Amino acid sequence: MLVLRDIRKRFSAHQAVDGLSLHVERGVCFGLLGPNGAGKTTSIRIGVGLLAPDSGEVIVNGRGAPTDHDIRRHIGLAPQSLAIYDDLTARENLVFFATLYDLAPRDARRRADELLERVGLTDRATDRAGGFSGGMKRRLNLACALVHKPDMLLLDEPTVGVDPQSRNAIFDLVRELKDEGVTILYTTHYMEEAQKLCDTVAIVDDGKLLAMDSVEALLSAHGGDSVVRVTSSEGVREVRAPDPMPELSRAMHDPTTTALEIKPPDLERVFLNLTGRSLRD
Amino acid sequence: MRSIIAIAMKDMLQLFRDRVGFFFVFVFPVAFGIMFGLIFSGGSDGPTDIKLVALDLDGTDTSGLIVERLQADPKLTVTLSDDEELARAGVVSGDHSGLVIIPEGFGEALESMFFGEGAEVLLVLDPSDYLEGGVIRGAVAEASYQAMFAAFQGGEASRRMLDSSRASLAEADGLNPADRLVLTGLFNSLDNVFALDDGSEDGTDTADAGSTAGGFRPITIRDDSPAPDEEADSDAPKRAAPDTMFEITFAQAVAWGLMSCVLGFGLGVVSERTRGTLTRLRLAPVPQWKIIAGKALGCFVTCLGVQVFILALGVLVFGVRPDSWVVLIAGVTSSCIGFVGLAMLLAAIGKTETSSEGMSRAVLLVLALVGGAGVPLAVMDDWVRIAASVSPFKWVIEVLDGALWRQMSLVEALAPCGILIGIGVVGFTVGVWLFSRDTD
Repeated sequence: MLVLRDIRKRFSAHQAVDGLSLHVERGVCFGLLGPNGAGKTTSIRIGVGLLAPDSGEVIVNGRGAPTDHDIRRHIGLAPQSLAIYDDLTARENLVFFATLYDLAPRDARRRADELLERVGLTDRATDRAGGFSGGMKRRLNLACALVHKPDMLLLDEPTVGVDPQSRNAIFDLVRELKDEGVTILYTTHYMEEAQKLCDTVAIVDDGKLLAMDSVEALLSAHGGDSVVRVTSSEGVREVRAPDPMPELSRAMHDPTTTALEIKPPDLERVFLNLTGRSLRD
Repeated sequence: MRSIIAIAMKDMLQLFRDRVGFFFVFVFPVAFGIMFGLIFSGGSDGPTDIKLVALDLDGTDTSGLIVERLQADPKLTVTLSDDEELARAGVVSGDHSGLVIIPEGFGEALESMFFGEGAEVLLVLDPSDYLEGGVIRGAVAEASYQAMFAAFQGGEASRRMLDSSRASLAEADGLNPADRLVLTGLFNSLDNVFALDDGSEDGTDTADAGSTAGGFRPITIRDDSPAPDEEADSDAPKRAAPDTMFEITFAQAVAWGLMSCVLGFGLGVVSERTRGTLTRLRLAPVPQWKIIAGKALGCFVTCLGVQVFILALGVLVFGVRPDSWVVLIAGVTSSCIGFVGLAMLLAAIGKTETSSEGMSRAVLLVLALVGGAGVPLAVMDDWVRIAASVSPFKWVIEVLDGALWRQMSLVEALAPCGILIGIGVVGFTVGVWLFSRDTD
């Protein structure tokens, strides 16, 4: 669906993307995980043709570059910044963007109403977006990316600054879209989100691809051992083991044990093991 | 075409919903036009430091008194000259706002004011200095009458005038006997008045003398300014006077409205860039030229709407009476083109809302003020008028003034309209070029 091949992009002295290659299969949710400044947004902009790479190649749907308008019709983007008009109502925002995709006025209004319902903003359809909460704006931002029913959706940090309710609504929508066969490229620096939503995850740092695989494979390859944390009358001890079950069994039969905690490997630890620093450093 | 219209409609809707933007585009300019129209109409002190050349070809006491009175006028800076040709050239070139000529024989004509053609003072005025022209007319009339009454207030001059008039009366063969009788009675009465006056204190304060002249006009102030044909080669617009000061201030109001349009649309694009909506527009399958065309169309329609609104209000409510609708339409249209170009340039240059807004307001405000949107250029110094040529606001006001009251012909309007269109084309081209570069 989307192929980025050896992409490089430099801004003055800063190498934002350094030889990045990705292969996003059709119908998957592909996570691009990395800390702030890792080159995720630049990669997304290159992926949708908003930014020209210094070198490398981008191919969408096996047909060509995303600068082609026919190819762009199949791409939806929800930018990290809230790309909506505060002075327009929620419905007006959606109808306007739908019109740009050649939807007839009636179809545009119908599509707008569908999406408003889908993101839970029907009752605020005629309110100006400027008065929305951060979470509502995020949902509208996402809805605007869907007005033309894209085959591929690029979500750039879609949950930044949103409340838990809106975050869950966005997660639900992403899952629904994936079930409908929409290919999703999801950038985030929240490893929990990538772990929850994504089939495949690429971990990037300093514009370079560190690892790319399914979540399970990444955890298995780079996550390290599970950690069993045992609290007993004698104190607290942590045991690392590829298989935590023997240690768990032993601790449970120990009468001095008062609490047990298992920390399975996660993407945070994958990143730590790959880079030597935390994802949020 | 649908996407172009959608972008234009969206931009206009945003502008109208922004209360501050709406205020500065529609309300402020009208308030400005009305307020300053009322101030100018209400008899403000008007311009000062008006440069006037005085040419006294008569050389009598009375003509000398006129020059003295003019020199004493605080609004005037009077230079004496003895070369008429040079003095006229100074007015044509704009070095002086006017020239007053007291012709040879003025004093003699005044002494026989009841017979003959009467005394005459010539005025040559700079056609572009309409406000100064009015002040000069008033000052010369006042000085002439004051000088006349000062000269004839009793004393030898009065008696000379009476003797001269009696002699003229005696020589006037064809005079109606009834008129002869009335004038003889009048001269006898004046004799008695002067006799009484000789016995009283000298009347030196003649400040109100001019007002006693009533319908009797012993001095004629004749306008000897270049005829329209003679000034056809000059850049200066024709002489004319507005019927109402609103014809001046509403042209200025249009300039303020256009400035707000440019700011609204130019900064609107900057805002789209910083907020990310421009990214979404660019991602849509809409060619870049359509995005730009949509924004330009929105700006054009708003600029047009603002001008029509302000001028219609002027015509319907404030007595503005355009001399030429054709020139007005040409001026309004070319103003729209010029300011759309400026808006596109501003949109392309601006990177952040804060810096762009500060820079734009500062630059446009200076251009507007220099261009005569605040104070009419007519009352500004020469160097400001020269500098004003770089301001698009000057050309807007010039062509609108020309259409509203200066009786500018369509041919004469070609220059300001052409300059505005040129500004629009250059601004649009540079803006689009920068906009395109910004993609990558």
